[in-house]
Amino acid sequence: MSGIKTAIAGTLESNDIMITVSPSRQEGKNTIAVESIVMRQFGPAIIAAIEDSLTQFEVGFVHIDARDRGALECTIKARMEAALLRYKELPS
Amino acid sequence: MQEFREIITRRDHAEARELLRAAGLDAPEGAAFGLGCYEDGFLGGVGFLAGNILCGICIHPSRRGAGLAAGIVSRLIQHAAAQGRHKLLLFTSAAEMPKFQEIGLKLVAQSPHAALLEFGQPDCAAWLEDMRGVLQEQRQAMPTAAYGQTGAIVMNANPFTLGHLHLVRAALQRCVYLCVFVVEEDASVFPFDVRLALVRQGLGQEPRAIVLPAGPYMVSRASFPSYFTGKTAHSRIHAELDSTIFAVRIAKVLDIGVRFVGQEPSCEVTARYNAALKEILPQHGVVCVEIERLSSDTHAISASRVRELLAGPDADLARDDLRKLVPETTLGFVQSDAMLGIRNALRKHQNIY
Repeated sequence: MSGIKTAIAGTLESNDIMITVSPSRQEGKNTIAVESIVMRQFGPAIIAAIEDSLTQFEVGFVHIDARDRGALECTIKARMEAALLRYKELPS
Repeated sequence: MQEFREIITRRDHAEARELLRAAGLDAPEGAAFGLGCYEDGFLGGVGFLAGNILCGICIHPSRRGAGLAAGIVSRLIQHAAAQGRHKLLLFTSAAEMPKFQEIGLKLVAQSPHAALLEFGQPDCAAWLEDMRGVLQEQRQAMPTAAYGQTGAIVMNANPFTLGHLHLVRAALQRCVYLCVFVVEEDASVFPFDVRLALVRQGLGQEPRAIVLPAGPYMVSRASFPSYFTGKTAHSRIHAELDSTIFAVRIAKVLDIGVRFVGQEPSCEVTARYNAALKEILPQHGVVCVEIERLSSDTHAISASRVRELLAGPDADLARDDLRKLVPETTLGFVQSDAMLGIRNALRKHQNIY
């Protein structure tokens, strides 16, 4: 068991995205790692949607790991919201 | 209607076993969490989670290509996360590997027949970075200023014997630094922390030997399942994969040029492992050196012989036999009260590994 505070939302199914939230790797900033089947066309849009959610839900500095399987923007935001709220509820 | 639910009833299990059997897979052993994808009552696919290992993921031939595997793996990941497990490993055949990679699992390494994939953090790259940091620190703290080849040994040390000490000393003659990796999987009668402590104490006089936990990528339940079940059926395939991971990931990042193994006269799985290491490591530029075992009188010194003695009556502990097999440090521990639990376990299961 890793013992690191981590929250997950979403799935690896088509048209979905799996978001994993854990403490940031670099002090004083959020870190984001995205892997997507449509990285070339939509990579920047996916990162923008993730950053939007991070500003909306204050959870301190975190690392976001996103495995995207072609999710729409609304799906990305919904998964981000669920993952961040779950992360907030975890004991640190 | 499609529904993902736990495989619970006897009928569910029989159905799942049948699906696996038809695909040439064994049902997972031990207590595993099983998940089925049911479509109007028809079992379209199954998958299991045993500890931090994803296994037995199998889709009915008529339902392949419909994304069922992604659904099953996702839910197993969520189930594991709810239990606080965020780092998962999957062992599969080389032919199936691309499908799992496509789903979003990351490849650790692949051999001609098998592959190991992972999900979550710390992944292999992060773990190796950590190990490299620890190693670097230890090397700098050492009296030898000379730069030279780093070697490695992986041992279970259940418990640490004079045979292990001999192996380390022989290896140290052939390299400047020696990483001694202690198998981390807690499947042996001596718990991991005890095994690690006894190796550290036993090598206290050998400053060039650096004792480290072997982590999840060296002789673990994921990289080398048959080492723990003792079954020889797939041991060659497992041994090849473990050797490949060592060569292409571990040796590369930790700058290890030579791997030492102790000659294995009795255990078939270990003998096959040695053979695989000798064949595969040189293909990737890592030398593999087999060192002859140390014998006491006529018997080879082995940890299994030590365990046999420990399972016997208390009087055996004072006998000279044991003294010929283990160093003072291990002897002190096995004669202490801390051993009572371990000795009882040994007596209960005569053949415990």
